[in-house]
Amino acid sequence: MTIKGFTDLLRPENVSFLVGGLAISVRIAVLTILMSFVFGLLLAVARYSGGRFKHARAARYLGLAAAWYIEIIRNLPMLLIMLATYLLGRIPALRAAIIGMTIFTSAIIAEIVRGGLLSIDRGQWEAATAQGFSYRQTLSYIVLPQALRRMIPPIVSQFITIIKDTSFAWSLGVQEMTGRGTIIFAKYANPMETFFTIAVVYFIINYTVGQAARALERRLAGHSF
Amino acid sequence: MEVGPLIEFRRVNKFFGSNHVLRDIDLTIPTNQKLVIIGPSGSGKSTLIRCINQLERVSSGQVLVDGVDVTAPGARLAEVRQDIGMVFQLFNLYPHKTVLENVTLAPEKVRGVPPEQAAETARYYLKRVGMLHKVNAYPAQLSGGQQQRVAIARALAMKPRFMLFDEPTSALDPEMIGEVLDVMTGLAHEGMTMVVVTHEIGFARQVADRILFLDNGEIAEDGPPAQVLDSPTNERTKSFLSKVLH
Ligand SMILES: Nc1ncnc2c1ncn2[C@@H]1O[C@H](COP(=O)(O)OP(=O)(O)O)[C@@H](O)[C@H]1O
Ligand SMILES: [Mg+2]
Repeated sequence: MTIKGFTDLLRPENVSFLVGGLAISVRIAVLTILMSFVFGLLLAVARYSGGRFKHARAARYLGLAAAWYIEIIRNLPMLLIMLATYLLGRIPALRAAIIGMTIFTSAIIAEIVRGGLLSIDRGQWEAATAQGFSYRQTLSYIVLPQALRRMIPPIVSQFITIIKDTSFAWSLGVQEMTGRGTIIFAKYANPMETFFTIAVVYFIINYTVGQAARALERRLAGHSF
Repeated sequence: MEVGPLIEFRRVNKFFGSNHVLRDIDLTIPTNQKLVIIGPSGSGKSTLIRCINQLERVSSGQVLVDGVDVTAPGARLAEVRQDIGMVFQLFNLYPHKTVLENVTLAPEKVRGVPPEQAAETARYYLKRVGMLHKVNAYPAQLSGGQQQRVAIARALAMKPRFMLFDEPTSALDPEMIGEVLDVMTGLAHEGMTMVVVTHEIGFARQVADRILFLDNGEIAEDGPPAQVLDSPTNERTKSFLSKVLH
């Protein structure tokens, strides 16, 4: 690494080019996280409920569909899903990247959520049922809130994975941060300096997210379990 | 005026797989009765009490609560359950809710009671069980005896027609059993209908007006405390009592 390599990299036009790429990475990550969380939650509840309502046809089929989706998707490479979304979906690369990542991540989040649901003590269901809560009320007031607290660490670790994996969007031609870095170092022949700088940025973001999650966890743990 | 029985079992059988857990149970429990169920572990006491609010489905026969067949297909169980208070061996408080929230949650969400009114009712019952000083605590911050008293307040706040207790003191340290039994005794004196599974023979003698001895899924003995505890006719009852009394 040389001083020249860094001064080239840190020229104002290059910095704003990289920051623009970072903005795209963040946008991919945030949208993917939000949508994956919603879809993952729905998939998890569908699969979980399908297992509990063995005699209700609609619930069972919905549960089976969710189970198949989850099992197939999480055993495929995410990059393959992203490329397929782009090439078969005929949509802009950025949108394809976000949708492709969401298709994959939803399946991962779904299994984390389902694990959380399954970890809740049977006595909670019994107490709530005995009080006259419906299935849906028991899930939303009693079981899910407890499950979500237990799921904070694995979910955050998945969110950090998403932030890192936004770099896959480059393969679809999206000029996110990593992709823009390759354009810069091709011009100035400073790959070491460029990758080092980008790595520092990823690290700072992810380390901060991880620490914030731990602080949240400590706060929630303080008053209950 | 003639009132029908509050709870009625008609030839109830329950199987878990090939395990015949309840055998032809016929049982009529009138309003205001304090019924205590005793019997060895695995004899079906929990299963029987859980059939009343249908936490357990029956394999055959009928259970009627206030004249409503809760075992019928399509029975409106959530409605029936609102009126039945249940207290569990392991308390089963909601750990993510404060003591007050534990008691207000069902009245608010199930019955639609306005929050201020639910809180007022909750405070009333928490005071009765001696837990008003802990309204803002979480269950994990309470002793077992305190948790169980909150659980009783939680059940009472729904203003139930009757209360079910499934070994409410079995998970408690000995020094905490008394505080929970005291609350239950007070409740009995106020005329609450109660079905209590317990091994506390002293409590049964003092509070029950009827005791069932359940053995291997059958009602082996049924009568007032003096009869069942002091002059049982059934050999199994005798041997069981000699174990729990000494
Ligand atoms: N959910 C269940 N699945 C299978 N067997 C059960 C279940 N619950 C209870 N049993 C069996 O039913 C019998 C009666 O159990 P239970 O009613 O809990 O007895 P008790 O409360 O008198 O100790 C036992 O043999 C127990 O193993
Ligand atoms: Mg039991």
